[in-house]
Amino acid sequence: MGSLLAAIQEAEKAAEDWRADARVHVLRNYTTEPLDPYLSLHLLRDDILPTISHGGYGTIAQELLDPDSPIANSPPDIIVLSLLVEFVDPAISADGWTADTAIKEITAYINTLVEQSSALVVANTFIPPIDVLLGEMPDSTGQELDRLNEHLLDVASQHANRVVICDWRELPGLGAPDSVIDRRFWKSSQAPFRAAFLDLYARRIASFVRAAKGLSKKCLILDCDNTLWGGVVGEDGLSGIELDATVEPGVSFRDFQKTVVDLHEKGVMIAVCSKNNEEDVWNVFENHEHAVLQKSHLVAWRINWEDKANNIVSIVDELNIGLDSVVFVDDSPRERALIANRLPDVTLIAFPDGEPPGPELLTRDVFFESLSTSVEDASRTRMYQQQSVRSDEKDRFADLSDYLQSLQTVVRIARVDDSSIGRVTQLTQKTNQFNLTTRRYSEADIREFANDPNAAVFRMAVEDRFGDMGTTGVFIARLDGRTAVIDTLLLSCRVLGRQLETALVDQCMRALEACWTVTHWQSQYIATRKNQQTAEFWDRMGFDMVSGDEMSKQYACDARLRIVDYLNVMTVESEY
Amino acid sequence: MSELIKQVMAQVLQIEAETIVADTSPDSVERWDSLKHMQLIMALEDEFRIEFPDDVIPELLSFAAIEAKIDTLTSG
Repeated sequence: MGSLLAAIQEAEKAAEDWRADARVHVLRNYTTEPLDPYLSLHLLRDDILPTISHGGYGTIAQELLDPDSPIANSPPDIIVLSLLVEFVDPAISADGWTADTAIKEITAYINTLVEQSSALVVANTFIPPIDVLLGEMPDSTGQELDRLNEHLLDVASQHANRVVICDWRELPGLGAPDSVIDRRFWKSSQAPFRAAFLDLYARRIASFVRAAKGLSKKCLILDCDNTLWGGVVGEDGLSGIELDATVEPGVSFRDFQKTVVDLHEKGVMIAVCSKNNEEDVWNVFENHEHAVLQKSHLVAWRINWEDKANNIVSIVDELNIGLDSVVFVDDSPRERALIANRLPDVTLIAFPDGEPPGPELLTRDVFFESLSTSVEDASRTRMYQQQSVRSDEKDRFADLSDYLQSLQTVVRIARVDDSSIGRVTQLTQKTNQFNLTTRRYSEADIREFANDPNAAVFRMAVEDRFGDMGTTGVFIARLDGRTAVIDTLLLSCRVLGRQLETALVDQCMRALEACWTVTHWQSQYIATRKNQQTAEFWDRMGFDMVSGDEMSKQYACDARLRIVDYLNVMTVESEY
Repeated sequence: MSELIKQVMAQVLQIEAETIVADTSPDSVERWDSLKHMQLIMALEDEFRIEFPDDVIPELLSFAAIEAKIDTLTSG
C-alpha cells in the first residue's frame, strides 16, 4: 500500500462528480476513529462522498433511543456497529464466562437499530479479547465466543437486507496478532487495530455502502490470454497454455477461473473481451481439461481484433448497464491504460505484473456485493441470456410493433405485498436509467407507503415467451387533496423499449382513479447522470410541464387522460 | 520532508498547511486533542514508514518536535 495521504488526495482529485454521498455513523465501544481515512479512501475511489461520524463510547442504546441524538437528527445511510466483546461484557475475563449477557445485549442492539433507524447496519463478528490475542490474558472464552457469533449471524439473518455482517474472523492476520494489533495505541487509547486490519475492514464496509447505494458492480469483463490462463492460446496452442489442477502457475489460473464462476453463481454478469481468434478461445473453454469457466457462464463476449474500449462500450450497450457497473480485468498494463483513459468510469483491477492472478484479486474489494438474497438476483445471467436471444430476434421483424407482439408479453400489475416488498425496495435502490425521480427507499419506507390509505405502491411483473423476468417496474403515488402525485416511476433496464412504462403508468392511474377522488395528476422528472432517456417521458405521456428547469421539471395533467396503444403489444393482467 | 509533514498535519488536524510553523502545537490548534494526536501519529507513521517508540509519542507535541524525531528515525 502506498501513502494513505497521497491515495486519498488522488482519489479526491480523480472524482469528477460524486455518484452518491454516504453518511456513515459508527456505533462503537472502543476507539474507531483510525478507521476514517481508510473508509474515506475506499469510498472516494468509487466516487462516493463520505461523511463519517462516531458515537460515544459504549452509549449505543442511549444514542438509539434518544430523540435528540445525532442519529435521529441526521439519519445515517449506514450504521457500523463496531464492537469488541470485552467491552460488551467485561465479565469475559473471568473463568466460566458464558455468552448469555453478551447475546442478550447484542440482540437488543440489533433489534433496536432495525426498529429505530432505516440505515443499513454493518455488524462485526466477535474476535477473542485483544489482551487474549496479545497473550496477556488467558483465554477463558472457550466455545462461548462461537455461540455468541452464531447467535449474531442468526439475528442478522432475521433482518435480511437490513443487517449485514463483516466477519472479522475472516480478515487475515489474527493468527499473528502483532501484525494487526498495535499494543501502543491499544494501551494508550483503546485503539487496537493496525493499518492492515483497518484497510480490509474499511474495504468490506465500503462494499456494503456501495450495495446500499445501488452502486455495486454488475458485470465483470475479462481478458483471456495471461488472465484466464497463462500464455497466448493463438501461439502456444491448447496444450501450451498454463491451466492446471496441480502444477503452478496453471493452478493459479484455474483458481482464478473458479472465483469467476463463483461470482457468476452470485448473479454477477461475466463477459469476455479478448484480442484473439474466437475459435481459439472457445477451444480452451470447451476442450481444455482444466477449464472451469464455460461459455454458458458468459452473458456477452467480444473476441476480435478491435480496440477494447469500443468492445467494452458495445458490451455495456448490449447489456443495458452503465460503464460504472463494470469491472475490467486485463493483465496488460497497456490495455488498462487505454481503458483508464477512454472509459474512466470502468473499474480496473491492477493485475500483478507478469504473474498469475492471486486468489484475492477479485475478492479483496467486494465490488459485487449484493444485500439482496432474492432469487431474481441469482438468476440474472439466465435472464440476460434470454435477453440476448430477444435482441437477436429484433432483426427479423417487419417493425417494432411486429416484434413486440411476437414476444407475447404478459404484464401483471398489482399492489406491493410481503413477497414483493424486498424486490420493490431493491429496484428503488438500484435503478438508475429509467427512473424519473431516483428516490431511494428502504423497506420500511415502502411499507409506510403501502400502509397509508392516501398512498399506493404498485409493482409490475413481466413475462414473455423467453421467460419470466419477475418484478421489473415500480409506481408510487400519494394523494394530496384531489391531486394524485406520482412520487416514483421506475423500470428495470431489462425491459426498456417495450412500451411497458406506458402500461405501468396508465394501469396505475386507472386503478387509483377508481379508488381515490382524483381531479388532477402531478408528476416530476429529476435529472441525474443516468436518467436522461426519461427527460421527455412525461411529455410523451401527455403531461404538461408547469414549472422547473432542465434539472427538475414539474408536470401536471387532468385525470382520465389515456394512452392505450400499448394494449396492442401485450396482455395486461391487473389485480388490485 | 517538512512539506510532507505539514501536509499530513493539515489533513489530520483540518488546518491549512501554510499556517503551520515550528511551534504549531495543541496550544495553537484547538482540534489537536489526544484522539487527533493518535490519528496524527498513525498518519505520519504510514507516510514515512516508521514507528515511533512508545515513550516519545506523548512528546511529539509541536511541528518542530515531530520534524526532529522523524529526521532521526528516517536518517538512521
